[in-house]
Amino acid sequence: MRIKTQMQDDVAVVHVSGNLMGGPESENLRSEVKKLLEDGVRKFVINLKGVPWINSTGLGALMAVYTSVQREEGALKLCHVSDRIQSLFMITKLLTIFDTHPTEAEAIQGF
Amino acid sequence: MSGAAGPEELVLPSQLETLDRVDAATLRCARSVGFDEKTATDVAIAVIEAVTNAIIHGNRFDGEKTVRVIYDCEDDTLKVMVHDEGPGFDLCMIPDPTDPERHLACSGRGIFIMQQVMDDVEFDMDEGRGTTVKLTKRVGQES
Repeated sequence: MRIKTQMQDDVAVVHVSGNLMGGPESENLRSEVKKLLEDGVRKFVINLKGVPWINSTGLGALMAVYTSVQREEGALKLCHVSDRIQSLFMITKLLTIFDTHPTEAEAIQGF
Repeated sequence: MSGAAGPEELVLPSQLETLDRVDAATLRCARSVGFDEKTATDVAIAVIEAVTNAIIHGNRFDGEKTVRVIYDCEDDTLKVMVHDEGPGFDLCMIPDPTDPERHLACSGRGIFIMQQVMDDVEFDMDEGRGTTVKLTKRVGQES
């Protein structure tokens, strides 16, 4: 799994690629967002275009990011969520937790 | 995976990187039994949860231990057995992820996912010999 962050004005767009399936790589996502929060960033888009699927451990990493952003009164949006990841959100009854958008531009416009 | 007729088997090291192989094998078996694409994908999601649990909580990433995944595709039924070499666990101690207090929890959804997707989920825990999760899904009972 690879993570690359780009700032678009005051929005941090975090591009994730590879399967999000737990282990130390998922920790990288948490620590990347934690670092950005410490730098004062409060608007986040996680672009999942390069993520074919995630498991519940990867979902846990997304939940950790969501709660840490919420705790700092920030906002998190997801974009390019695959049908398979949407299915996992539906199965786990978390569909309403995440604010999802088809594209990165629409997610950024949503702030 | 064996190419012979009958049950097919994967023997995997205790590494999460092997989940791609599990995904591919499960999708192939689910399609061969006759599940539609949505159901085949959901079944793959459930089997990946069983193997993830086996690697993380069962074998605890122990390089000396393996996870065995056995697929039995029979008529309109797919049976998958996932076996680890771990100490087992107490099913009663697994928290309910739909509990409002656990709704935003970062873990504890694996078994719930298996139970939501599959028709039957059974756990065989044999002290000293590991845990086997038996997952069954029948065509025509898609949710």
